[in-house]
Amino acid sequence: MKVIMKPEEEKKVLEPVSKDAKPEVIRESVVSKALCCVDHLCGCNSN
Amino acid sequence: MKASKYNVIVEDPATGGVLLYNSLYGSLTAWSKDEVAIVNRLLAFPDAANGNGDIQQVLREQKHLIEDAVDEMAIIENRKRSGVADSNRLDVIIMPTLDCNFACAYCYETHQASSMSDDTERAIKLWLSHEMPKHTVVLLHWFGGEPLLGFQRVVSITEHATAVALRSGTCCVPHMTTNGFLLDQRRATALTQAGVHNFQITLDGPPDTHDRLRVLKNGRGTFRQVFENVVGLMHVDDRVRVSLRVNFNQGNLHSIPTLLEMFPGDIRSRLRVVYEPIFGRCALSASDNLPSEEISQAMAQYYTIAEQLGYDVVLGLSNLSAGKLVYCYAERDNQVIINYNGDLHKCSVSEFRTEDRVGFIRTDGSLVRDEQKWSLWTDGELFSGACRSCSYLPLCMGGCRKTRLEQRGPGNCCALTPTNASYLLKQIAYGRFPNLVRQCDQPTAANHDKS
Repeated sequence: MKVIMKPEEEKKVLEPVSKDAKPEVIRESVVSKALCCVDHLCGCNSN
Repeated sequence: MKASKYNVIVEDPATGGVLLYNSLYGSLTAWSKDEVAIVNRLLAFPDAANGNGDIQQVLREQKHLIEDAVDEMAIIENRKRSGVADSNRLDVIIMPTLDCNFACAYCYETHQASSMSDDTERAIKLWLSHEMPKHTVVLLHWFGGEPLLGFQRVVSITEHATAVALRSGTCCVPHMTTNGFLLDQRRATALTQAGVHNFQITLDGPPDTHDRLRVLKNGRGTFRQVFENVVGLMHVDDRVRVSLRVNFNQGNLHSIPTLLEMFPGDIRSRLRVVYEPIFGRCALSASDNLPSEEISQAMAQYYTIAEQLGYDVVLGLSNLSAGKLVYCYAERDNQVIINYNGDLHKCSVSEFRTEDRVGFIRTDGSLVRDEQKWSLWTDGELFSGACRSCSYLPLCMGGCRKTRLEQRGPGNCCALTPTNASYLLKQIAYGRFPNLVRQCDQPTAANHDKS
């Protein structure tokens, strides 16, 4: 058995949308989501 | 105790073991061949440790096993509602024109001669002046059509936005998706001085493949000029970062390494390579014309080559993190696309017809939302029926809202590899999840140590 990734705390998951979130936390979230979710304007034919 | 509904078991044929990933919590555990039967038994009968307390303990710590009282659907629904309502971040996508100088073979847009009026530019500036200070971060995307056909509007509005940000303390992040053809030194300099440092530019392989897919309206190839412009752009300002996108299908997939060899070494670390399959049901579709295994192997190989050549490559366990809140920006209440004519839309994969708009901007800079249409994107059923029983739901958060709206059928809109699906979901769909984890074996230790 090998632990590769530990579970994330829900508070951490919701930190970028929390009331007092700092700009760097929000930006980091945007960047990481863009990396892992390909959350960008698409140029493909999805129809 | 019970098993989490979001455990995803992926067999690793190379070792006979399994990878146990939890899509809700982001935990990932590798189990050896000898442990597989015990793990499966404990997931089926969580309280029956029978001398396997150590394994049971790890399953609990990793949240593969959870307390009976935990309502996991409530956690996911809370994430989605939080993401939809999030006001920390404002996503503004401005389309200065729907026209384009390219006639790409796979483009979904219907290009039309169009340009933004002075009144609309003024209205957008007024709106940005009073809207931006309400948010901590503003993402200002330039899209189209080809946004550089409205170059003066882009510069003028971006300069205004960055000035508002400076005054209000808002963090403004401008970004442009462009075909790069018009991005000469003069325009590149003006844009970077205005604050646009992030670009997405597509090159579909080296000249012989790119020039078959991405051509000017007169059919002429565009590779040479786009390539030279990208290189020039990178030398204009050290802050410039470019997502170098390659849309691939059977015709250009294996030309990617040739393209990678072409860029000078000194700019590669600021070029992030992104390979995306051409979608759709047509002769150009990657998924219809390439076996998934071939795509999988090529992706693994070509990202590795890119990394070895010094490009910015998105690979690693950081890409497996949990925490997606909405499927895409269109579901966020604080997101809007402003078309050249002042129409408001939500989804960028659209024909941008006025009859489909979700509102418009007045000349006084106020947004008039058609609440009934707007709410179709932000309210209503969070997830369709089939999604509620899907163990991948936290990675996807309900799939494409546009598709759901158009098909109006719960649970039948799912495709594992849409553009906005999570990176991980794509890896699973392409069958290369074990490869990914094996590639990450060294970074894994560092990642684990940090957490």
